Amino acid sequence: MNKRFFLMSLLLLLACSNGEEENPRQRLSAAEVLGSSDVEGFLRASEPRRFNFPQDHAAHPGFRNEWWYFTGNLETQNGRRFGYQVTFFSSAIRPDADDNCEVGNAWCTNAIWMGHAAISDISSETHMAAEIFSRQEPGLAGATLNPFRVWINDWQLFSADNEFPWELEVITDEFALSLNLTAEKSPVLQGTNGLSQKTPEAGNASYYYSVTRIDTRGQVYLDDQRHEVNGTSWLDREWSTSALGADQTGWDWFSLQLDDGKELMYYQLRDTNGNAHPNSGGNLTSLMGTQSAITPQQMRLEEEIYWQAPDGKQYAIGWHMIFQENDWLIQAVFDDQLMDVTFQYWEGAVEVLDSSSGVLVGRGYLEMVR
Amino acid sequence: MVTLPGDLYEYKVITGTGLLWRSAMRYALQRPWQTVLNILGITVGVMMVVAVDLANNSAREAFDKSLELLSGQISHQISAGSDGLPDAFFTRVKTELGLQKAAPSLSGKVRVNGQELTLLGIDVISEAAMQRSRPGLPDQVFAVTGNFIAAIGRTRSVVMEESLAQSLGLEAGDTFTLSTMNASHQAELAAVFESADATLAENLVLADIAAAQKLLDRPGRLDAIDLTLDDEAVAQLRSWLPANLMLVEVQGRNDNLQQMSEAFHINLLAMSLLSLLVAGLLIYNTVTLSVIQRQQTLGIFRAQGVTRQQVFTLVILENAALGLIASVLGVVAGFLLGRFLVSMVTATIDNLYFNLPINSFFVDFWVLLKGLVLGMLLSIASAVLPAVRAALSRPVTLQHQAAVNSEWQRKIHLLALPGILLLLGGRLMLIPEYGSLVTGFVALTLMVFGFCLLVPGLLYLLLQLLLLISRRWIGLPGVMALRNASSAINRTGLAVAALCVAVSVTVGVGVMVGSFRGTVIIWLEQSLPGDLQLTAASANTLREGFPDELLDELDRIDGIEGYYFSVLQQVESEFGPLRLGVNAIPAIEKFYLKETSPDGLTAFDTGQGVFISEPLAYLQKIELEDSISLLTESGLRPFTVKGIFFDYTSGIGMVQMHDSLYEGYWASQPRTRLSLKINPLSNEDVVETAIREILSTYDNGFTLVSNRQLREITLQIFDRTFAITNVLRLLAILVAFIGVVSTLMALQLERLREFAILRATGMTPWQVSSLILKQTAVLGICAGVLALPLGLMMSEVLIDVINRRSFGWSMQHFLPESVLIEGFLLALIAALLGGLYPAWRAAKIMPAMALREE
Amino acid sequence: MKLQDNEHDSIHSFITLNQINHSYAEGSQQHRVLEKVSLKISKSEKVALLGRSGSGKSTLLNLISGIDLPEQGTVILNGHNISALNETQRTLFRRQHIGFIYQFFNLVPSLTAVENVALTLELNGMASAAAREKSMTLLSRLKVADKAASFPSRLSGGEQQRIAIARALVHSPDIVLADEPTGNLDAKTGEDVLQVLHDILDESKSSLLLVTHSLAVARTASRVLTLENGAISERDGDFAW
Repeated sequence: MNKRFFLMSLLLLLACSNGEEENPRQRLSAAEVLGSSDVEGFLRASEPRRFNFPQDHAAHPGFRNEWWYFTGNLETQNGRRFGYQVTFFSSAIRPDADDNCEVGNAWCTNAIWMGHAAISDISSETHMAAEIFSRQEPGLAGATLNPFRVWINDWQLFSADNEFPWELEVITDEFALSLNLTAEKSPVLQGTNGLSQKTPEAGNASYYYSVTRIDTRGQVYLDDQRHEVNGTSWLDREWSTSALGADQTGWDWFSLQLDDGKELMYYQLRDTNGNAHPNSGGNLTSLMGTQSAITPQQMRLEEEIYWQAPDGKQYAIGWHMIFQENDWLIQAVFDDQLMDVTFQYWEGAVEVLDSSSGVLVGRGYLEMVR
Repeated sequence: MVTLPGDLYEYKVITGTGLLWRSAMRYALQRPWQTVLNILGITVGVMMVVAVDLANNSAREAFDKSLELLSGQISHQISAGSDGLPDAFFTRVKTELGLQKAAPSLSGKVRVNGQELTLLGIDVISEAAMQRSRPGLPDQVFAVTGNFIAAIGRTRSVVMEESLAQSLGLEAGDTFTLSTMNASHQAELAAVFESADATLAENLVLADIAAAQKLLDRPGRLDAIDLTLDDEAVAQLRSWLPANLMLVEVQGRNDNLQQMSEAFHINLLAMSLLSLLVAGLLIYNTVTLSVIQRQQTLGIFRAQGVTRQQVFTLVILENAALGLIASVLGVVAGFLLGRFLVSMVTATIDNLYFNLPINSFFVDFWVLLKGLVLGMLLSIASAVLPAVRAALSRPVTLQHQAAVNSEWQRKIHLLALPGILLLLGGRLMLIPEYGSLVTGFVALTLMVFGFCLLVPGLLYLLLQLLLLISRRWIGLPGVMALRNASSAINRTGLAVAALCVAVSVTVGVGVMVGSFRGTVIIWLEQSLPGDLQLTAASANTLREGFPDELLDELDRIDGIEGYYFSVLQQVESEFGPLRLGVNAIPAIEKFYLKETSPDGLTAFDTGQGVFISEPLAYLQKIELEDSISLLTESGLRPFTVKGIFFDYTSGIGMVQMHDSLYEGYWASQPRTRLSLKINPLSNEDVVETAIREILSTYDNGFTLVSNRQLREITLQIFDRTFAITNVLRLLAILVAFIGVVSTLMALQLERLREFAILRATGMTPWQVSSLILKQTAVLGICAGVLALPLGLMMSEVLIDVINRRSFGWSMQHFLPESVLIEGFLLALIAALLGGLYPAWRAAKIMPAMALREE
Repeated sequence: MKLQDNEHDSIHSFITLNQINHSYAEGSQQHRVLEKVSLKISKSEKVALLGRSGSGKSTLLNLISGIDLPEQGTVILNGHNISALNETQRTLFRRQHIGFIYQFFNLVPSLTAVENVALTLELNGMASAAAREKSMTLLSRLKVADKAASFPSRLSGGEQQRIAIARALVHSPDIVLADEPTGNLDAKTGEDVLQVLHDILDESKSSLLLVTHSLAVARTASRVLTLENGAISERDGDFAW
């Protein structure tokens, strides 16, 4: 779900123009992001809409923010495991309606894009992250159909037509990914028919869908070595204009793919005291693709183990999740999966264990923004 | 340390006593005019050196900072030459090649409220990805985006430093007019930013590439793509890059530019040093005179037991003190003048070599200190010989007035010999074709000194000649004036030499600039073919060239005799970017040629080779039949050099080729210029109006300029380029003037007693005064006359050696009479002025009192 | 009062010129001005030297003061062989042991009267205030204290010469060399100045070599010599020039 902090961080950076020496990373604070943004002229996610595929896989101009968010767990034939994350964020500087650019000028652009990519090499407990920035025009980044293509410079997600399978290609200085993605289930609309309310205030919501189980095969390039991998990925798609409420400072987000064929997504918004916000929520997808909402009342989350980032922030890398009849232990595959990029957060591969037996029952990804 | 016998004790053998200093000080104060002029001479000399040094340093700094600002911190550039490259190529570099450290670059000159500014187009996001910091902009490029964000992707929005906005009277949100060479646009100040070093951004308008393309009339184009590459990426990029684009290593190119402009700095410095040298000669003169004047006093001192060392120290320190005062004043004045000169120096560099958005005044405190030390050293050094002379003053009981002069006259021919040797030596040093610039200046200095040594002898001959010719009609007082001048040649000889040098600097530089200007005028006549130039000015017309309908319409205008297409563009070459001029006119009609191969003209007209500009040939040592590689649409291709033509447009060099040759290598390039020939019988204004009428239907797609206007503009640029030289010349004149006045004044004041005797023997005050004025006039005329050959010699060296070695330009020699007359009048007027005060003093003096004085 | 030759030779001989030959160049010709001149002057002795102009009187003064060196012969002053000293040593010698009085006064025009006097003392190492005080005392003694602050150009000839006398004597030199000290003064002033000079000399015990062409002036000395054709001879009794 939640990379809306991207928008805020960009805006924050943009605001801190007076050449202060302070490292921009330290200015990253979720609370400042969403409260004050001028939403004038942008479209709002204020009521449920009809989703159309494949059209909704492409960009939704008019909204301020949008992202394509892949996470997944991969494995080579001889059992070497990797987690990965690739995200395309887009953020508009201003609403589309703008007559300040002369028609025909190729550099007219409203959107700025940011890409994040990371590999968690579980065998060596190494986490590598990369980022990329670009303006949208002229043709430097975008998300279009016919054929389907989402790209930031040479990072790209594309299809021969508009349908799966999709190809995801990312090349960074340290590693590269080339993955073939095939959806195993139809898109799951999160929230209320895809409208995901973040605060009680109308419009403070996003349109949100996920593809919860994507068969993935391809290559991971690492240290001049090529690894043939296959595994399962998860796509989160979200677009919105407004951001978090003033009383929300961060979140925890779980995407779990269970061995019994179910998937569970749950996000927990955190208030200024670090407690769960009432607008938290989630969704359980059955083997057959039917879904049921999860309310905060149905979910009990307890932080078990902590890891401290170099900047002093505490991230919970071991969780107790009690949901329905299940009592799971959710553990990071290794501690340091901090995204050490311009805007820091923790995002990493996790294992889901049955807490009484210790048996592995699924895998997934955990994101924590503090 | 001397061992003293008996009861002798050593006390103050070297340094003087309070009373000695006091007497020296009173001496200076009793001759305030002389002292002030003396100080002024050094002051102006030091001022020039400091000002030029500061201006040079500032310009160098501005140059560095500008390079850093425009192309700094990058390793390479993708560059195409002709009108830059299409922006779509940048997209390919980013998306196909995935080069993260790549940023588009597009800049140009604009005017806002009459102020010339550099508009720098950037893509902040690429800048951030490159982590490029630019001087004058907030250090973290990302930080600028806060102000810049409103400008991203907008075609009218610009951003500037807040003090610039203030000086233009603009606030964020204001709309204003921004003009380029071709057009004016409405722009909006989207935001202002604050810079840690505002002076670096004081001439800078920042805009998104979208706006830069629009405001600079460069739709769809980029100047270059800036890159930071490692070796592996370089290799990869080279193999991927299309043939019509060139990967340029930035450091090498910048070094090259810097080297070229360095020649210009050396020129300025040499000129200021020359003035300081003149100041030194003048100091030498005045000090010598003051020593002669005080001969008796020094003799009394010596008889009283003042040691030679004490006398020497006295004279040296006396001048060191004057030098200190003068140098401090000079440094202050130089600081103020430097502030003014720097814009002229940067204007020249801007015109000749490189677009300089930064022209701030950077003060290097070492320069100030250097000026102070230089002024002091010069004062002291110039006083050494006179001080030795003073130290050798005989005790008063031994002084015989007559002995000195004859002694000197016997030495005149001895001075002439080293003088001739120095002249010859200097001349010999100038022989090598590609000698260094510094050698050139050393040779020039040697020649000047050589000439100086000849001056006393020449002066003697000149005076004898004058005496011989004019004896009949100048009367006894006139004869006396000449005889006096000639018998006092030990004093007048070097004074006149100094005046000569001072005046000759103004003559030499004047003739050089005049010749240059004259040459440029001739060259302009010959190298601007046709009468009117029609140039494509919009994106469309730049891409498409001239539509047939337009040509038809032009055909129908009476008075247009004919037209032909031409192209003027930048082209990449093995020597960096060059200008490329193309048209179909036969070589014989359009070039101001320096030399050609035997078959040069035919070869050019049939597309067998190219002609290159003289500076390019000289500076890169390219000769006829050599080949030069140019970046064509199909990659680097060699072209044979068949001729060399004169060119004075810029420092970077030019290549000319026939249209037929161009067609083969740049097939896709449209012809963007049209030269129109007007029937000499028809009225050019009428034809021009008719053409403008037709053009009005083409939506500002074309601009029309008459060659007359172009010539004017070119001359304006020329004058702007040489403004600094003219200022320095004026200052050299000032130094010379002060020198002439002070030297001659001192010369005559020293002889007051003699004049008193004349008064006593019955001459009227007026007769004495006019005698003095005649004498100074004679000396002034002699200095003026002798300065002319020296000045001409200097101009020869400046034109044929210094300018050639500095810029690769050769020029014709013109002798502007005004400069010669000016030099002569300068000497004469200054001489008469120098005579006025002594004449007044002499007229007032009571004969009896005078006889008693000293 | 007469001293026997052997007396001042053995005991009081203070200046000794021994077989001096000297000539100077005029145009291309050499003029022999002193020929085997020998002379002895005792301490505190006042000697007058009579001679026509051009007879070599001034040359003799230059040789005694070390300004010039003899071509042949020796000059011994208070035990120093002048000819053996170098230029600097001779200068130091001059400033410490010799006082000069010139016909044309030769005061430094850019120094006041008292400064002209004090210069000699300062050169010899006296602090400037002390030098000034001592000079003032002497100027008072010479009755020109009221002119102390005047520059030479404002003074009459007699006043200038008094200042010059003060300058010559202020540092108590071994000998005062006076070259026609009254030659540029009217008779009355000349007499006054000469009187003052003798008065001061009597107090200071300095020797005097007075060069003049005036017999009247010469007679004020205790011993009169004549210089003629390059040779010195002792005069006694009446002498008509």
